[in-house]
Amino acid sequence: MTISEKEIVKGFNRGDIRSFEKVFDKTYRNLCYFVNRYVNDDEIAEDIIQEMFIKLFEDKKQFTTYIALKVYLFRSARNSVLNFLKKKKYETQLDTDSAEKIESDDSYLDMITETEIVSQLNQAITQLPKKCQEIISMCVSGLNNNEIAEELNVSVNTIKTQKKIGYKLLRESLKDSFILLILLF
Amino acid sequence: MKQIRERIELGRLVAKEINGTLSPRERQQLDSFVNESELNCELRRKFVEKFNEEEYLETQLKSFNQFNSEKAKSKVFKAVKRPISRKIYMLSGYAATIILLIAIGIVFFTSSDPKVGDNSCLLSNIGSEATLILDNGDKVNLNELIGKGKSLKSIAVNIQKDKISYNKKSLNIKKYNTLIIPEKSEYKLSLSDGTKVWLNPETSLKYPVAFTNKSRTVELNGEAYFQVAHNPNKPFKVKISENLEVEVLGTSFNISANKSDSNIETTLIEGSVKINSGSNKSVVLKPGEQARINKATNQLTIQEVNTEFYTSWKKGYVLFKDKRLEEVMNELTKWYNIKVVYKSESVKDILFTGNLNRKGSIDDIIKMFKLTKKVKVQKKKNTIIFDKR
Repeated sequence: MTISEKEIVKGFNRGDIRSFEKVFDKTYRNLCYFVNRYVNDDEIAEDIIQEMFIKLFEDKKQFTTYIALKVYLFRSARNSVLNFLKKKKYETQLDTDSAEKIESDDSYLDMITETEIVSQLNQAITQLPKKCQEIISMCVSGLNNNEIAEELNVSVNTIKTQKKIGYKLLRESLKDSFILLILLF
Repeated sequence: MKQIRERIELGRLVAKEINGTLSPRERQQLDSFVNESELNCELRRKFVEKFNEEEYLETQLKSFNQFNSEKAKSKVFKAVKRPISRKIYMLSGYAATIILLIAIGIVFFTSSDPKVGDNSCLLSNIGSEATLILDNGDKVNLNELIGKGKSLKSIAVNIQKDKISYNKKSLNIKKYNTLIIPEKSEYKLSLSDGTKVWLNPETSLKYPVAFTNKSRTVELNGEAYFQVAHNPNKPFKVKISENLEVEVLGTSFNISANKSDSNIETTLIEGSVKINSGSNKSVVLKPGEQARINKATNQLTIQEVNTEFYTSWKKGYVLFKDKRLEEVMNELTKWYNIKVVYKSESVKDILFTGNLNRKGSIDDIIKMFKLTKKVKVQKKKNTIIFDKR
């Protein structure tokens, strides 16, 4: 059952738990990744985002569109990071770098774009050929080549080759544009 | 915040460009963004270049994948203080259930079975969500009604936390209601004739508010346990599909219409039951017999079974005998938040017999699979991976 984004927002505004779950499923990893790029600590990133979601579900906020909800989430995430870094800076006098980074508008907008790119490319992994998909999935979930090879009972070289192919396929269009370039020159 | 919105959209488009999956319309969108300014053009180039680096791409994907929303979800939802309403989108769910209906197993029980209200078979994380579709098509979220007068106008019905009952006052109302239970939820229902029904996750039941016809017919998708009120003048029928129904004269029984099973199983413990299926003749089962209809071939076979085996699930166990691994796991995913991966197709067909505690942890269940030595099994986060030995 796929629920369109429109329906998710409608349900969300109504306070429906299924829609909350959908919003959570669709955005949690994106937001954690985004925050982690600043705090560099996955546990802290998760804490920040979880707290943010608890507040989001408790406030009875209404949104007109799904993208408006997403914009709100990114903005809240950024504010949460700013607060966290300010507190940390105050406590430790360190890490001014990250704080400055996220305070600058351009940087955090870039980071939002990167978050969306990563999330989208991560989704594209599921479209890869079966073998490739399996190996890339294992790889990005943190297994190293040796572990994957042992797991799948194939040689490390096979893993390396499949990974190359997988990553290449994820960037399909670049290959095409190279061909185009060759043809043009 | 137009900027953020634009950047979210840009991210999606650039990724699709990298991935080579831009639709013509999206291509147009991206082009018009790029042509808007030098800056935009530079932005696009920057991101495409960055993610062209295999190492960068891999690092970012790894960083993204270290987060697990399933695990975090329960934590967050537990901490939310305000009650969240539990309405579901039942129409599409209902349609999906009908399409996915594959197998039905029917089990009849003796009178010593647990009474309605016994929670012993519930997993602690099982909720009680349900939606009621009224005769006029209105959808009612039952959880929202608790404590609000506890009744629906026009129907004499009593709604409690995990239970809805119709009383005799509803006798003259010629209307149908449909009760829909989402996944990971259980619900109880008392029909106007006194018949009690337990509904399992992913189940819907359509029934008349009052049984005014010659027979008491209800339509089931999913899995439910019935305690039928005795009335020899009005046979109780459970319709499973256009050409399959089960007729009961008054006893307790369980019907499981598991979408993923390939067989329809009807097992009789006590009493009498007739199976009316389209292409096969009607069959009357004797106690201790099981009728099995293959969904694909529509072939019906009857065999004697150990009925004990089919009754103990009400005490909180998931029971299976010579069941394919895939079917066993499909059953378990109803109760546990797990994903299942099979490394080879043949592994799905390995047969298992067992008795698993629904209340137990998934780790215990994995241990049991390991003990059988028939498969290799391991758990990574909330994914269970099966492989040949």
